[in-house]
Amino acid sequence: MHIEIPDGVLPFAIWFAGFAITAILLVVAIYFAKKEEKKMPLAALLAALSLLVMSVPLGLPVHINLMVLVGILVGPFWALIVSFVTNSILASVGHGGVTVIGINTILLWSQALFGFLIFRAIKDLGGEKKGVKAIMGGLTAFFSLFLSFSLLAGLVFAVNLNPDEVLIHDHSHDHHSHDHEDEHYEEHHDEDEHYEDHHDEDEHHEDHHDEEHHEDEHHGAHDYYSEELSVGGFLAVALPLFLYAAIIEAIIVALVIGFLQKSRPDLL
Amino acid sequence: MTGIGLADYYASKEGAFQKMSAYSKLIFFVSFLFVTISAENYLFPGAVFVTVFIFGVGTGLPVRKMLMWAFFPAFFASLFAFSQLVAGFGFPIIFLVRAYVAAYLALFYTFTTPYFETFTIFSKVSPFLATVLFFTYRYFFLFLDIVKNKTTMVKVRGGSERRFVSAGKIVGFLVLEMIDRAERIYSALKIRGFRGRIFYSSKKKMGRSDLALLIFTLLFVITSKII
Amino acid sequence: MKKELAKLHCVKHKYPDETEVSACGLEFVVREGEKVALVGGNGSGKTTLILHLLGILNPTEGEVSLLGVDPAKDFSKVGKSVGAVMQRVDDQLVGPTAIDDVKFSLLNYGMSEKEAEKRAEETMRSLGIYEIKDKVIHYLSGGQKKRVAIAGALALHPKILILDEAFNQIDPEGLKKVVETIERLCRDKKMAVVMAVSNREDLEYFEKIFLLKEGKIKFAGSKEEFLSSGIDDQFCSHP
Repeated sequence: MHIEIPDGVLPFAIWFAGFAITAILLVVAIYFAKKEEKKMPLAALLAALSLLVMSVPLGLPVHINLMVLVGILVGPFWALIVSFVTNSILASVGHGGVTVIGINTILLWSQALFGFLIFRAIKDLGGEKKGVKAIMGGLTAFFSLFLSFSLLAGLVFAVNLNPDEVLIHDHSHDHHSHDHEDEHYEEHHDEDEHYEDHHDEDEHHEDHHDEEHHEDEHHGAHDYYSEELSVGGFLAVALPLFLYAAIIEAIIVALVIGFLQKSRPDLL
Repeated sequence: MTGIGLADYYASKEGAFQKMSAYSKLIFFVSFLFVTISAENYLFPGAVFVTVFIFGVGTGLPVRKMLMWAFFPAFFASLFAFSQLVAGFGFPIIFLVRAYVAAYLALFYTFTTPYFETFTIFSKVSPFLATVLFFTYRYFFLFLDIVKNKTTMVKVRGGSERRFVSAGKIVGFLVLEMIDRAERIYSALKIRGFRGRIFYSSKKKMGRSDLALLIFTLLFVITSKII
Repeated sequence: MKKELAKLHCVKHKYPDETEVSACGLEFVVREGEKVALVGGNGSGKTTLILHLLGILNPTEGEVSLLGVDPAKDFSKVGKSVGAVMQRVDDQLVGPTAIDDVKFSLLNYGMSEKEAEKRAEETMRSLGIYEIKDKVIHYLSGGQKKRVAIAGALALHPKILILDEAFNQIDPEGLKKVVETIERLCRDKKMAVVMAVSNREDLEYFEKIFLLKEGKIKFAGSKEEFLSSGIDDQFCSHP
């Protein structure tokens, strides 16, 4: 289950950092993946399968992606590569975004990573009894998805969607915006300055002191803004969607793990 | 046909944009994307959208489908944006516009550029990842065929009423098929001398239309920074 | 005496789920320039034998030799001289376009792009598939994919060509071109051919027959001996 962040939502520093972190992780992952070259066809097939199941409609605008299963079957290094490949191809058809491939890769990979670690820890708890591994698989899926979703909520909190942080304000065009103060937001060129300030609203207001005409234009946005509303609002909409898709995915993963336990126990 | 399948089909046609080099289209795409996501108002995302829409119609793309599909990321943008509704409607709407136009732009690029041409450009950065991308692309269509056949057979055999169960069985079958297939594929690759890389050389050279596109892109970006 | 290219003596293999497959009985030998057919009913062991020859299955018992090496261990040493077409061609087709796939092995074995392009085009022309060279693989029909796979194997100008029911799905016109190309390579380059066959009609292209039943080689001899013995009716499907 995956909620894709689209283009134009996250600030430049966040999505650029996402690319940088993903690039570093990929270098490491490729190094280890090359030692397990035999898994390449399986990883590519899993990526293809993941793309295919994402097109299965669930009635609501969410979809499953089986990344937990990917983590269990090919391990964390190949899972990162699968996540990157899947997100790249998804971005090409307008699912997710190109600038946020890095962030989306990490979020999707987190499902596989948690899945790999949790399943490894709990898979043998019930022994070889019929159906127990399947249940463990299902639980692994649900908790992995929950942890990944928490990461996403944390990202929303960390980004703290303050209009002044997200939109780039252009000081030279102040006079164009005065006529539409509720609808037009000016863009700041110096985002670094704003990232230092974003937790402190008073300091943030002081930044605009020198641009007196800006203050009047911005009061509609940041006067009403609050961190709690930002995350709370997001959760109110996203959490029910998450629960719906996560339960479906957990059931499917459980069924597949049960199936594999009978036919290919060596893979688990 | 899924989005990927349809995009691939149109990208392989002989339209004006399809004939252009992937490099020029990629520069066009990245530049217009930058203009969209850094726009301070609705003017330039709107201009990007209108430009790409006109190009799409002129190239004979399925613009109605593309217009619909571009709403998908806009929905996710709304999850982020409408949590900010208390800040007024303008703030969430700019997210939706950016997300929508960016998605539409991505769809235009994909519908006019075969995947393997993009992967070839990417192989200059990482041949390993490009190889995985090539394989994924190939196997996606393989699975698509398998699913089409399976769902047809399920219907023929009267299984279509229990859609969820049938879908689950198809997924289960696909997973097992995939695992068996992966081993056979690896063996076949080794027999064919696979050394970790897939080779593809684009036959398309940069021409006058590529130059025109690049000049247009440059002028558009400069204009967006001036206005 | 013609040079021995492949040899197999009573091999057994056990899969992870404990299923055992074997190819025993009479000795299996293929020499330079020979055209050999493996015939047998479903589950007789034809594919098992081929997988052992290619080194995909490592025998738990018995011996296999391909171009003088144990293929399970050292296939890479002789791979350049072995052309193979599997039963399910989708498993081996990887190139984005048809000509990319035909060039795949050539480029992987170190041929230059220009030479590989030339060789691939020549091979595709002789098989009658030159006009589909720029088509994307997944848009090809089953028969076209088979011919692309065969082209990919023949482009290597291998010393031995190993095929698993490769003539299925190919139309008569296409098959004629495939057979002509193979026969020319057998004649000019002394290429040997080994193919698992399930249609009686396909036997006409071969001179030597090995018959398998329940994992055992029951017959090893010329095609004339095989056809006159009467046992062919029991094991070959008729079109």
